[in-house]
Amino acid sequence: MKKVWGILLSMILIIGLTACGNTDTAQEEASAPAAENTSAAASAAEEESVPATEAVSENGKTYKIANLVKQLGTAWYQRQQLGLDQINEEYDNVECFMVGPETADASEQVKIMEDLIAQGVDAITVVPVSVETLEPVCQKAREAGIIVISHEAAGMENVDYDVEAFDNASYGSHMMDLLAEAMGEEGQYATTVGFLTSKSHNEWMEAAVARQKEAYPNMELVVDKIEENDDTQTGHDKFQELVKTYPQLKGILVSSMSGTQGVGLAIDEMELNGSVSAIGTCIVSVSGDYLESGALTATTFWDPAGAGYALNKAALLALEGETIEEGTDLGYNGYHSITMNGNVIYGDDVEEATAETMSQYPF
Amino acid sequence: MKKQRNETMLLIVMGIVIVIISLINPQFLTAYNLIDMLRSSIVDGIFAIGAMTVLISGGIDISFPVIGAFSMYTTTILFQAIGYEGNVILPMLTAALMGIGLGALNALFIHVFKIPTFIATLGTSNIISGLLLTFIGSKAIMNLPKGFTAFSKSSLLTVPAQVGKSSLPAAFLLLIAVAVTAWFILNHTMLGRGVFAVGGNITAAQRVGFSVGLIQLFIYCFAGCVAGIAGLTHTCLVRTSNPFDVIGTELTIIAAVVLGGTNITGGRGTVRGTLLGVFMITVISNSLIMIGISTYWQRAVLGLLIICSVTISAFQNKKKNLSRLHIQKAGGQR
Repeated sequence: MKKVWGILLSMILIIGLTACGNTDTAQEEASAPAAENTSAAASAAEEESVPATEAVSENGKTYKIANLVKQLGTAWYQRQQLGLDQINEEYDNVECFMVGPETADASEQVKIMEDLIAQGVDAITVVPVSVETLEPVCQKAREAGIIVISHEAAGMENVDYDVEAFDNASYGSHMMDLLAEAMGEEGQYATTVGFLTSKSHNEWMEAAVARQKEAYPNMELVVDKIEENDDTQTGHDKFQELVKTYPQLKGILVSSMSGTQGVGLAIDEMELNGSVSAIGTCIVSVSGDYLESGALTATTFWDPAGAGYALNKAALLALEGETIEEGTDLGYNGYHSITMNGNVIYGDDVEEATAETMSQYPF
Repeated sequence: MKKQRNETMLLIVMGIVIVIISLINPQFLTAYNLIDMLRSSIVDGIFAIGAMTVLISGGIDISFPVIGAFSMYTTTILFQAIGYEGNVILPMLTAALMGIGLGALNALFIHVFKIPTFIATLGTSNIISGLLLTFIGSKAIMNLPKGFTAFSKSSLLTVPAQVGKSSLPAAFLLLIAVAVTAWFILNHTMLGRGVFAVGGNITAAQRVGFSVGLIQLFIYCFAGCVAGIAGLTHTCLVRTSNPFDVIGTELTIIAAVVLGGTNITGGRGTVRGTLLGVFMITVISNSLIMIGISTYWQRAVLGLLIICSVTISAFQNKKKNLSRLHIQKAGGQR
C-alpha cells in the first residue's frame, strides 16, 4: 500500500516539475487563439507542431525559431509576442515561440538555451540578462548549427547577428536631451541600470552621461548606474534612498521598465511630482498612471512588437541563406531600412510618450 | 536570560551598523528614513513570520513566495472580474484562505507521505507556479480594484522629509497583527508549544502526546495564510499585481529569519528576533547609496555584511547548543 502511495506521489511531483519546466511552451500556446488544454504541456507541444509540419510539407521545410527573453510575462515581452504572432501568421514555413525564465536570471537563461539546443530548434533569438554568461552557450548553439540572433546586446561575439531597435548611444543621448530639457539644463541627476551586467542599459547610460558632459555642463551626475534589479520595489526603495542622500536631486534616468515603474511610484508617494524629473524606459500601459500624475516626465521606448518581428524576420532570412545588408527591409515600422555595423543590425525605432502623447501608444 | 542572548547580540551588531551609517550620513537617523525602512520591511516581515514558524518546527519552507504570488494574483483577477468596489478586507481574507489551502497541500505531502520538507515544498512551489502561469495568467495587472489602491494610499503617519514626505502605510498594521498572532500562538497556547516540541525532537513530541499531524497541518496552513496576506499586501503597496513578483525572495527571507536567531534545525526562534533580522537586512540593503558605496561594490558589501551577521548569530547558537548538550549529559533537566 505504501509503495502505491509512493509511486503515485512521485508521479504527481514529476508532473508538477515538468509542468513547471514547460510553462514557457505552455504560455506560448495559451496565447495562441485556439489554445488547447495545456496540462500535459510537454506532449501537447509536440502534438501541436505535428500538424504544422504537415501543413507546410509542400513548402519543403519548417523552421522552428525560439525567442529567449529576459523574463516571461512582463508587459514588455507580451507586446513582443505580437511580433512573433504576426510572423507566424504571415509565413507558413516558420513556427516561432517565446521562452524565458520566470525571473530575470542569466543562469536560468543558460539552462533554457541548453534545452533548446537539445530540442534541435533551427534558430534562437536571445535577449540576454548577462552577455558574458550567455556567450559560451551561444557558441555551443552555433556549433550545433543553430542560427543565433541577439537583441539588446550589441557587441556580443557568438551570434550571427544582433538586432537593435536603434543605436544604443543615440538612444541614451536622446534620453539625456529629454532630461536636460525637463531640468532646465542644470542640477543634480542620477542614472540607473537594471543590472550592471545588462549591456544595453550600461551603453545607454554611458552615452547619456557623455552627452551631458558635452552639451549640458551645468548638470551634475551624483550617482552613476544604481542597480534597480529590474524590480519595482527595489526601484522604489533606491529612489527614496537617493533623494535622502541628495536632497537637491533634480532628475533621474531609469533604464529598466519595472525600475521606471518603481521610481514613478516613489515620486508619487513622496509627492515630488514636478520637482524631480524622471525619464525612463517603459511602455505606456505600465507607466500611464505615473505619466498622468506627473511623477514621470516622459518614457522612452521602442515597440517591442517591432523588435520581435525584426528578430524573427532576420532569423528567417539567415535560415534561407539570404544576405542581410545595409538598407534591407525587415518589414516592420522602424526596420524598413536598416543600418549595419559589423553584424549589428540597427533600426530607427525610438519613441517617446508624455502625459499629452501617451494616448497614441496602445501598448 | 539565556534565551535573550542571541537577540542582544543582534541588537549590538545592529547598533554598530547604525552608528557607522549615521556617522557617515546623518540623514540615516531621521524619522522619515526610519519610516521608509519600516515600509520596505512590511512584506518581507510578514513572509518571515510564516517562514519562522516552519523553521521552528524543524522544517524548511521554500514555497511561501510562490503561494504569496498565487494568492495575490488570483485574488486580484477574481475581484477585478466581479468589479469589486469595496475595501481591502474581503480580498485580504480571500488571499489568506487561498494561502491556507495551498499550505494544506504542503502539510499533506509532509505529514501523510513523509517527504522531507525541503523537497515537498520545492515540488509544491513548482506545481503552484506552473498552475498559476498556465491557467490563471501571466500578465501583470496595472489597474487594481479601487479598494487596493485606497489601502496602499492610506497612511498611519506622514512626516515631511527633507524633500517631499514619507508615510507609513496602513499595511504596517497587518505586519503587527500577524506578528502578535504568531507570538500569542507560539508562546501562549498548547499548539504553539507543540510547534517547538516537534522542532526540538519529533519522536519525543509524539511520545509526550502531541498530535504531530495536526501540528504540522497548522504550521503549513499558517505559513500559507501569512504568505497569502503578504502577497496581497505587496500587490497593494506597489500598485501592480505581477505574478512574477516576490518569487525568488525565499532565500533572503530565510536568511533574515536565521539572522534573527531562529535555529535552522528547529526548536528555537522568536517573533521579535525575526522582525529584527528582517529590519537588519533592510537597513543594510537600503543604506548603501547613503554611505556612498559605488554600485559596483554594493553587492559585495551586502553579501559580506549578511555573512558576518549570520555567522555571529550562528556562532551564538552553536555555543548554546553545546551548553544544552552539556546539561543533558550531566543528566540535568531543563
